[in-house]
Amino acid sequence: MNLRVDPGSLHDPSSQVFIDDTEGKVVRGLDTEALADFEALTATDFWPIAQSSGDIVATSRLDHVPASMSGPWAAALEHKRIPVVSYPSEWTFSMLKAAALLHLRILQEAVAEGLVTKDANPYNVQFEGSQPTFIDVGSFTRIRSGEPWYGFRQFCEQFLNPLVLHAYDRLEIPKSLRGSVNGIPPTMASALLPRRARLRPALFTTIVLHAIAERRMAGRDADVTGALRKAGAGPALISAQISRLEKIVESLESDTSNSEWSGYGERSHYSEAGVSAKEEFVSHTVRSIQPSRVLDLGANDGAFSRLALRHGAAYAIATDSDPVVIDRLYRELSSAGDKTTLPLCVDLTDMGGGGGWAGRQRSNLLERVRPELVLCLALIHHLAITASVRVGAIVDVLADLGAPVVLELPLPEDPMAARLLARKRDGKVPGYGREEIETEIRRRFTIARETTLPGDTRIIYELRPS
Amino acid sequence: MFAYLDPGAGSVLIAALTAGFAGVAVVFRMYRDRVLGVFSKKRRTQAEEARQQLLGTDAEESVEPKG
Repeated sequence: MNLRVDPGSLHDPSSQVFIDDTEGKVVRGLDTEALADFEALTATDFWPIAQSSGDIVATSRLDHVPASMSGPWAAALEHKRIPVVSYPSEWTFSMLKAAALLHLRILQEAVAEGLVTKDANPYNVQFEGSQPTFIDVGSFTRIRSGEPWYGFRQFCEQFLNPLVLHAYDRLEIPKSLRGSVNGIPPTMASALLPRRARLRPALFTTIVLHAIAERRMAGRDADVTGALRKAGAGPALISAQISRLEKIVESLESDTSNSEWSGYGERSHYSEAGVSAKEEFVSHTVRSIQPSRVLDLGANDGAFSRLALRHGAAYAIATDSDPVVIDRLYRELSSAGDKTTLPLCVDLTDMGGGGGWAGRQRSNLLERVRPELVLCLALIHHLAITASVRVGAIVDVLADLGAPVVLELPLPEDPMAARLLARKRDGKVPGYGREEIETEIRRRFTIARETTLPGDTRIIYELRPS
Repeated sequence: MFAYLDPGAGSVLIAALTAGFAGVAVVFRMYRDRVLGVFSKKRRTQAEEARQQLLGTDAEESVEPKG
């Protein structure tokens, strides 16, 4: 094995994650303390159930610690690899809510059997398709008597506060989570919380009072933990906390009634012949490549991700910049129990990445996806015209993904493109014409196939990186 | 266990209160002497002792050490 440290795994000194890129393996080192915790975890009643349901990532202990894993490791575990790692800054409201509820449910089961999680980090939850799974097996530890749940504050910052502020229309998920890997602190959440929410007792305690307590006790070395232990705090208190948090999170809803793109899936501006010609073109490419991962940029309702999966793709990453359409797609996939389409809210013109420790902890989605086919359908005119991104820069980003691309190009006379162009000075965007765009494409790709869609205003290309 | 997160004193208190009645009872026990101190000098002295134990003796003058 050729293991490298996962750059996101840097906080916990007793456990660290390593990745083997060539064999696609994820291995975790455990020191003696963490190994004892892991043995306590596997001895619980809930562990085998969580393993078979997929609530906790499939995990097995290796016979020995691989030589290329440097550190104080007493044992090594292998985890099933998640097809594509995603971040809370790419999830929608319903995804963050599902991750929060999974985290609380697992924690509640753990507390009942004498364990607790060291933290409450949303990065500990990953989605396989629409199914959330808890990946941080190293987070479980045996409860010491009288100790609080150390993850409470983090849960508030990373899950509760963003969900509450989104539900009360004060901040938008995931855009508001893109700036910091630490979420929203109690003081900021309290300042933003509207009055009708402040009056809800649960939110008054967890947000308003939390901010006050934090401000008043800042800078003091108060041993509240010790004082609470003396006053009789224990696992029952943690369990009651979790139940309360579960109730609050379950009660939160997002208003998803409309958005710019939520009616787009009906495709009213395509003729029936136009849709079927486009589907035929895409399915032909998918069948010839049989990609393990398809990246669908501008996926909207995910129709072409589904089409790709039907024609032999193994896994689709359906991205769109509109959180409302992605949230709707997630809810559809989730109620169908889908495990092959990962919906993500990604705005190419305003992307996260870097961030965290020294800007290296979290990578850009485009580096994480490793697609074998990219779909860029009915998107380039929005990027080039509305967002004013040079066509050359769009082509470079597509080419850097290193995979074949199916690109749909609405010509300037296309009704949708014309509508966007009409908002521009003189109704024109320099460089947005068939010849100029094809010149840019040929700089990085060879055109393997192309077809003019019925209506004669859209061309669809199959591009191979050159 | 090595809990690598600093829970924050304020957050620990709020976490207890979040637990509802049981939590409020625990926090009340913690602050009981201070509350009842309004009526009793003995309680007041006990509360002050508990407070110093809790917050450290320099709780009032929260001067950050320079250097």
